[in-house]
Amino acid sequence: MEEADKVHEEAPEPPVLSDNQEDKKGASSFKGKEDPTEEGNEELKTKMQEEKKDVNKRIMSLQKRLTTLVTNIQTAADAKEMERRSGMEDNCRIRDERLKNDAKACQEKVEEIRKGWSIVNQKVVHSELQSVLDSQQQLCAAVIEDKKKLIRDLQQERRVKEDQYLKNLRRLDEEIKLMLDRMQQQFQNLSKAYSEELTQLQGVYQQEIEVLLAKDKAKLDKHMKEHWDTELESLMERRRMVEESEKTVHDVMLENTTKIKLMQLEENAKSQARLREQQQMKGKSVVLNLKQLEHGNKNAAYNAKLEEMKGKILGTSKEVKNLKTKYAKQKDKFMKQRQYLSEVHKRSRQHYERMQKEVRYTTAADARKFEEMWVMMEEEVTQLAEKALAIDSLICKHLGLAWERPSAAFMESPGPRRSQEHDTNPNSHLLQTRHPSHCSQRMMDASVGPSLERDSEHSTGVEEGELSSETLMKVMELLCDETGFLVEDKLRKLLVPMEKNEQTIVKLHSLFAVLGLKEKDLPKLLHEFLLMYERQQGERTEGAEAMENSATADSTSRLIKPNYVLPTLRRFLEQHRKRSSSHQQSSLSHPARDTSVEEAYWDRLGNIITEEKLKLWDAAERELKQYEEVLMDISVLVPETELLRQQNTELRMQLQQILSMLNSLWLSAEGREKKSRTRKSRPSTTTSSITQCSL
Amino acid sequence: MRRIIAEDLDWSLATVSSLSNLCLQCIVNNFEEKPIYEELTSSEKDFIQNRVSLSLPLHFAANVFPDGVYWKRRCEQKWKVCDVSNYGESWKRMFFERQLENIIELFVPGITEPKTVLDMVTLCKDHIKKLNIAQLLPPVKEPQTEDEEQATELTLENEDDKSGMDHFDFRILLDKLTNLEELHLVYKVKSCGMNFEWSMFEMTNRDCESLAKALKSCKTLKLFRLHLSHLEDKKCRLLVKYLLDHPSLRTLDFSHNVIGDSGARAIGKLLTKSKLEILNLYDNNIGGPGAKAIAHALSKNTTLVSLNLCLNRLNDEGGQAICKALLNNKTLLHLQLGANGVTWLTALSLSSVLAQNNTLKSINLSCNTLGEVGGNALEEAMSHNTSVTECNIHLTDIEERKVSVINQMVWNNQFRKQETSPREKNTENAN
Repeated sequence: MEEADKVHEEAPEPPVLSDNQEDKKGASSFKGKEDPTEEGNEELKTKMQEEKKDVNKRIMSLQKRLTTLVTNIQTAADAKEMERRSGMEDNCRIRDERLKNDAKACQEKVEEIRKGWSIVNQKVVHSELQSVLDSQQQLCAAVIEDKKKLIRDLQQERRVKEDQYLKNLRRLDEEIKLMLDRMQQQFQNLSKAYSEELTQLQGVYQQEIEVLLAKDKAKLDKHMKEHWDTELESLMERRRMVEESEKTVHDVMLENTTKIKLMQLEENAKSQARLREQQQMKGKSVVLNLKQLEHGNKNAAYNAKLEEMKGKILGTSKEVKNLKTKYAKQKDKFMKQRQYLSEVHKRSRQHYERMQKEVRYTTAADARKFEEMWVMMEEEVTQLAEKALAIDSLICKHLGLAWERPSAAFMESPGPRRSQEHDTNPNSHLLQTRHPSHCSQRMMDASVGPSLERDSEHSTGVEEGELSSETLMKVMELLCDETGFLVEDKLRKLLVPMEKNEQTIVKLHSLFAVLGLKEKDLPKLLHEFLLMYERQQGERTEGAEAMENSATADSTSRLIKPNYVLPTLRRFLEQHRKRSSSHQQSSLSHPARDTSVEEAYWDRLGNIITEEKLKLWDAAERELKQYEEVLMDISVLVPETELLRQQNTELRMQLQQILSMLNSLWLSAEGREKKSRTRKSRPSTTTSSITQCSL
Repeated sequence: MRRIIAEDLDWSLATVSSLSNLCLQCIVNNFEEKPIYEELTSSEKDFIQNRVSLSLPLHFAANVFPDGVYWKRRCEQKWKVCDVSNYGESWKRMFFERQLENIIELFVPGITEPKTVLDMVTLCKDHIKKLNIAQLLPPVKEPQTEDEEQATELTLENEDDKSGMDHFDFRILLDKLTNLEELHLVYKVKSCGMNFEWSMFEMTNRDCESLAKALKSCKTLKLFRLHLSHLEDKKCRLLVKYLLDHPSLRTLDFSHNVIGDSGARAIGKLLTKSKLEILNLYDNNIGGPGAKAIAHALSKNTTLVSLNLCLNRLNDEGGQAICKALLNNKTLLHLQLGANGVTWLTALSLSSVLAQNNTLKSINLSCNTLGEVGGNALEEAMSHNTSVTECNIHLTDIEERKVSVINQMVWNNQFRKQETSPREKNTENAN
């Protein structure tokens, strides 16, 4: 127990120690906290680690101390238990020994008593017996006394033990209380240490956090400042821009307002001018009125008139407005109308075109129809003529006259219309050429000749032009020079720097433009000149010998006299104009029919049967009529003969029947046959005559 | 609006609960008739758990509510002190474990229907991992007495009838608890007062047999603790016999009993056969022969980590045997031989062990008379050792100076280990 107490006494010491240590540590840690801001992160970290280590050490030592305290208590308890056990064992041993001793003593005494009992048995004398009994009794009493004593001792012991146990219990109770107190204390100590540790750690971490915060804050401030600077700059810029834009906007607005004002002013001025004009007009009228009314009541009239005029002005202005609106309306209306009309016009034009097309088509169709009709008529007529001729020939034959076919070639040849058609169609023309016909040839010559001639002339002209291009050029130059008065001065100026050839070409162009000619007319013109040149040559043949000596180079001047140029040109122009106009006409209207030819043709057809022939025909008719009468008579007689013949055939049949039936009557039948044969011969002659008549 | 406020001065928008809350409140009010829980969202579940009545029948609530606020409320309603950290942070587990403990602690054999326990077990068999039974009541002979004190009083009178003194039969319980891992048992009666009777603090033979069979049937048990129950050699042997082939037992605690040498021998046999890691025989009656048996087992064992033989009667015979066994053992970390009456002889052999064994971490030799020689030997051994971080040599008649020297060395070892362990951790993390 004392040891345990010692332990208990020892126990409170460690906390003090630890407190001291804690104080030291606290001081060191406080020292460490003074300059963390200047040092880097690593130092802080190392410091933190050291701190942690320290803390760990301290906590560990504290824990160990506390646990050792607990183990000490436990060991103390164990020790006490051990002590108790040994004590108990000792006690037991003592008790056992004592009990053994007691038992031994008892045994001895019991032996003694037993011996005594044997003596008692030996003794017979009462007194002796009495004494022995007494001694025995004493001995027994002694034994009992001993036992009682032992019991008392044991009880005593037990009581002591009980007291001890109670005390022990009480002490244990106290100890437990003490232990509880100590535990409480320890607990408090530990918690205190922990809390201190915690506060320290908190302080350290706080400082660290503060340092970090300060750093971060500085950084943030820096960044914010930069950011604000940039923002401010941008804001300033924006403000400047806004101001500029405001200014510009203001300027623009001002400009606009001034413009508007100016315009308004102009408008006002205009309106004022107009007003003024009006007023002037009014004034004039007023003056006139005044002059008129000068004789009468001037003032009143003037006033009245003024008002009237005002009213009138208003009225007129209204009227003007109305008129304007009306005008606008009218304009619109007219515009619409115009549009409508233009549409109508377009439509009508289209209609017209269509009509024209139709007309053209119809005319073409008419022409075709006409031609077809013509051809048909011609054919009919020729057929009729043929028929007439055939009849004529028949009549002649009948009359026994020699009939001559009048100009068969003419009959075979086609009409002028057809020949023309054939002419346009080369194939048919080729076919036509196989049958030579004088008439058509002649007609063709008459109709086509001039144009062919012209063509040939053209070709020759062109050929010549082509051949002698030099002369042509020269002719052209001459022409240009002579007609220079027709070319404008400006053109001439422009042409000065150009080459001669080009000059002439350009001049010719302008000349042609002036004269209203086309380029394709040029060869014709040249041809005209060449013709003239030939004529000149013809005139000049006499004097050619004399001119031979002169320069050959200037052939044109020699060949064509410049004086002739202008008259020839004029002539050509006239011709050209005529030609062009005729050409236009011919292109528009149908080609003119050659009526005379057709007339001749028709006449010839009509006179194909001559007067003499007609007379002959009349005579023949008369003859034939007479013959017809005779024939009629004959025809009356024919049925009779027919009848007779029939009878005859019937009779013959009968005869044959009879013959077949009666062979014997053969001869008679032959006789009858001869009769019928004679009868037959007569009618055959009559029929032949009739056929002749019909033919 | 204005009218409503005028009529009801206390009216404010804040007090008008939302419709959903009203609905939930309705569910709460009619929860027993129509339990709607699973289909709700988590916040709504919380709402219901916070408000549902605590008087709901347990068989109903156990199936509906998972671990959560509801069980916390029930626990706090039932007990003042609730430390959920001892129950794996599970309020439901705590509730059921303590409920079952209560039922068993108040179970009076012969009077209480076993059905009450079984009903409870069916509800809570999945949640119970630990049972800490602090008392087991003996049966009552006369049926008219019902409360506990009277019952104990009556048992006093019938003390001779040993066969009638059987406690609660664990066979009906343990094979049904499929998750049970820890079992703490004390055969005693709490606050018996003046009705004290030794038999209250004992287990009967039949108790022992039934318990042993029950333990064998519980395949998940990891920790078994039977203390303060006056366990004798005979009963110890019986228990060990049934525990020999237990598949999962790791911790055995027979502290504060009266196991002697033969019981120790049985335990030695158990050590060789099972995979025990912690063995606690604190405050028993084991002497030299028993210690020898244990030492023999220890020299072959490769699983035991902690051995506590404090407060026995090993003496030098047993102590030396244990120390010799340690020469062959490389797994034991904690050895307690305090208050065993060993002397410098054991200290000498232990120091020879310490000089070459680097697995031992803590030694307890307190309350032994080691003397100067033992102290010298230990000092010498400790100067070579680096693993021992705890060494209790209080009250061993060693000089104060040497004690402090040894303590310093131990302290250095501990500190070195403290420093290296985080570094190792760091390197591990780095890897």
